[in-house]
Amino acid sequence: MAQLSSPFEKYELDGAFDEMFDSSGTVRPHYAPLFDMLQESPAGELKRAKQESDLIFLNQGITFTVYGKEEGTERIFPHDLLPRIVTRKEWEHVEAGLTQRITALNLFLQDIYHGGRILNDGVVPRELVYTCKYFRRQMRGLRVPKGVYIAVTGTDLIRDLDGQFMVLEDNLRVPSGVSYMLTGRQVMKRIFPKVFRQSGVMPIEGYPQVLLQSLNALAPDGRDEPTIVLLTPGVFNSAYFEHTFLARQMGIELVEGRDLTVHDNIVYMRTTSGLTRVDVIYRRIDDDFIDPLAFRHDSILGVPGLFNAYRAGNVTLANAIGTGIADDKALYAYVPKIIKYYLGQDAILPNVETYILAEEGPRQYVLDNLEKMVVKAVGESGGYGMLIGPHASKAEIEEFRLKILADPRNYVGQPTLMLSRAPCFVEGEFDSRHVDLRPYILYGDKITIVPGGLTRVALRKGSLVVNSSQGGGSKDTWVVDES
Amino acid sequence: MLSRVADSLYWMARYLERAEHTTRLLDANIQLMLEQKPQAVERQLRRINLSLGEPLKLDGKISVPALEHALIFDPRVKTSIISCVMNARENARQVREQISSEMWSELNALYHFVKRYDADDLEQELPLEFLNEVRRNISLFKGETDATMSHGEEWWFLQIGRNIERAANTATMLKVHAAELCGDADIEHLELLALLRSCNAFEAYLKKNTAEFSADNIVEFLLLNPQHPHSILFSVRRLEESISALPEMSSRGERGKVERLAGRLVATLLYSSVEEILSSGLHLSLDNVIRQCAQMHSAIHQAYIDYPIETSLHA
Repeated sequence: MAQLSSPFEKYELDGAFDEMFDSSGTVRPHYAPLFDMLQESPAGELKRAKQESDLIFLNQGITFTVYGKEEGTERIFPHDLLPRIVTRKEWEHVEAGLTQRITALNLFLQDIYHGGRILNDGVVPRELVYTCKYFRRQMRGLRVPKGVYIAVTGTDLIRDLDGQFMVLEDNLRVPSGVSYMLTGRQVMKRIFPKVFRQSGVMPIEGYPQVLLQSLNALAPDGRDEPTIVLLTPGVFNSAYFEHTFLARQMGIELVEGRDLTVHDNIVYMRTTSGLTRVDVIYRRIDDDFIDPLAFRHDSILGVPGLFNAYRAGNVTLANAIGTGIADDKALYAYVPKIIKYYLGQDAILPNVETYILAEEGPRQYVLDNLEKMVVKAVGESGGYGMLIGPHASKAEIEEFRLKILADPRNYVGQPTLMLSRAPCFVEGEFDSRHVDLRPYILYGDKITIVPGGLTRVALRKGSLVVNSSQGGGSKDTWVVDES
Repeated sequence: MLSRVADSLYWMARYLERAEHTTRLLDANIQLMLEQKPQAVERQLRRINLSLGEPLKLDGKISVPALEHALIFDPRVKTSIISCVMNARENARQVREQISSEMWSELNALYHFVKRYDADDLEQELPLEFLNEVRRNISLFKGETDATMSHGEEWWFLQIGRNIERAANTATMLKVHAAELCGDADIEHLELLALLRSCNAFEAYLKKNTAEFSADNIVEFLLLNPQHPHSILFSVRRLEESISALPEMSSRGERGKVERLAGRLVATLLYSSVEEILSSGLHLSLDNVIRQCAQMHSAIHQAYIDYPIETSLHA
C-alpha cells in the first residue's frame, strides 16, 4: 500500500475508488489546491474551521427531522469540512447522461399515461407498470403543461471501482436535499475562500432562480404572470427547513393545505386581502396526501378538490401526479431499454445490475446469495426497508428471505457495490468515508442541471448507507475547471 | 399575508400578553399575602382566581402554594405561565419565517427557562425571582419585536392580539374588585395596591393621584386614563389604530365593520365620566368592554382569517 504524505499518514487506501488519491497514492490534479492548503494549515486551524462551520449550521437552524423518535427529533445536518471535487470533464459526461435519462423518463411517463406504446411493444412488461403502487389511473389521458411531468429530479449517482459514474436510483417524486447543497456552499465560501478561488469552482447559486423559471414555464396556458406557491406538509415534516428555505429564496409564499381552497375548479390561497388565485404549486407533499377526495381520504395535509382543478388544467402541480411509477426500483432495471426505445441511444450513464425478484431465475439467484446482495423494497426511499447482505445478521437475512418470498414484486436485488470514498475530517483527523452524488435536474422550457449537487457521506466508518435519516451527512460538491 | 400566518401572529401576541398578566398577578399578590391574615388571604386567592380569564374550579379550601403551582406549572390550566408560553412558542414556530430571528431566539429562551423551573425550585423559595425573569424575557421579546420586525401588516396583527388581550384583562381585574370599588364591600389599602400593581400601574397612579387611594381615582385611572398603556381606553385606542392599518378586504367593506366596533368602544369610553360609570354600575360598563372585545375578536376572525369563500369572490 502506498504511504501518503502528511497530514494523510493514517489515511487508508484500499479497494474502493478514492476521490482524492489515485491507486498509487498520488493526489489527483484537481484536488491539488485543497491538498496544498491542508498540508499548510495546522490541525488546530481546521478544527476551528470545523467548529465555525458547525456553528453556522446551528445558528441558521439547518436541520432535518428524524421519524420514529419522540425526543430531539430536530437535528443539525452533519456537514463535512472537506469538499468533494469533480472535474468539469467528468461533470459534462454526467450532465449529458442525466439530460438523456430525464428526457427519456419524461417521455416514458407521457407514454404510459396516454397511448402506452412502450407497453404494447413489449419493451416494459405491462404488469410491472400496473402493479406499481405509484401508478395513478387518474392521470390517464390528462395533458400536463409542455408535457413535462418531472420538473425537479434528484438522481443518485455512485462511482464503481474504476471511477465510472453509474445511476443508483432516480427520485422523481419529491426529491429533497437541495437546500443543504446551497447552504453548504455558502458556508464553504466563508471558510475556504482561498482554495475556492484557486480551484475555479463553478457556481450553483442560480438554483432557486432556475427553479422559479422552470415553474413559471409550466404555468397553465393564458396565465402569463402566474402565482407560484410552495406547498408543504407543515412544521413536522422532515424537510420543513428546506421548504422554508426554498420559498424564501424564490420569494414565493409557503403554504399548507389548509391555506388553499378550491372553488369552481380554481385554486385560491386565503390571505388577509382576500382569496388569491394560485397557478403553479411546487408541492412537497406525496401524491397520496395531496387531495383527500381523489387519493387518501384520511389525509388532512392536502386540499379537497385540488385534483379536479388540476384535471381541468387550471393549476399546475410540479412534479405531476403519478411520476413515482418511473422511479420504481423494479422499473429502474428497464431504464436503459426505455432510453433506447424513445431516443434510439445507448444510455450514457450505466445502471447498476438489478435483479427483478418477480422473475423466477433472478429470484433464485438472489435468494442463494443474500449475504452478498443488497435488497431494496421497490417503493421505499430514504434508506428504509433495505437489506445490506454483507452487513446484516443471519436473522435479518432470514427475515428478508421470508419477506421476498411473500411478496417478490415488492423487492429488487443488486450486487453490493463499493461506493467511492472521499477524505473527511472526522474528530480532528482525515479518514475516508463512502460517498454518492445527487445532482438536481430542473425541467421547464428545457433541462438545466446546476453543476454539482449534494454529495452524501456515510459518516459511520465502512457504512454504505448515506441517507440523512440513517446517519449520513453531506459535503459541498465542487465542479472545477481544470484549465 | 396568508390568513393562517395572521392568525398565528395574533395568537402568539395574545398568549404572551396573557402570560405577562398571570406573571404580574402572581408577583403583585404573593408579596401582599405575606402580610395578610388567613381570612384575607383566602379572599385574595379567590380574587386572583377570578381575575384569570378562565377561573380554576376550586372545591373547598385553596392554598397559596397550590394556586402558585397551578398558575406557574400546570399545563392543563389554560392561563398558567407554562401553557401560555408553550402556546405562544407553538404559534411562533408555525410562522418562524415571518418573525425575526431575534424574536424567535428570545421566545425560545423564555420557553426553555420556564420549562427548566420545577416544583422543587418553588418549594425552596418564593418564585419572585422566577416571575421577574419571565417578565424581563417577555419585555425583551416585545422590544425585539418593535426593533427588528417591519411595522407592516404582520406587526399590526401582533398589536391587535396584544391590545385585545390587555383590554380584556384589565377589565376583568377591575370587575373582580367592582363591588369593593362601588363601596358595597370593604377593601384594604394593601389590596388596592395589589390591584394597581397587577395592572402595572402603581407608580404611574401615584404620580398622577398621589398616595391617596380613592375608588373613583382608581377606576378612572385603569379605565379612562389616556396615557397609561394598561388602561382600557389606551388599549382600545391602540386597537383601533391597528385595525385601520390593516388592508381593506377586496371591497367587501369587512374592515369597516371591525373599525366600527373598535370606534364605538373608544367613543363610549371617551365620552363617559367616572361618576356616571360608578353610579350606573361599574359592572355593566366592564361587562360591556369584555363583550365588545369578544365581538371584535370574532369580527377580525371573520374578516381576515376564516371568511366564507363566496364573499371574497367576484367582488
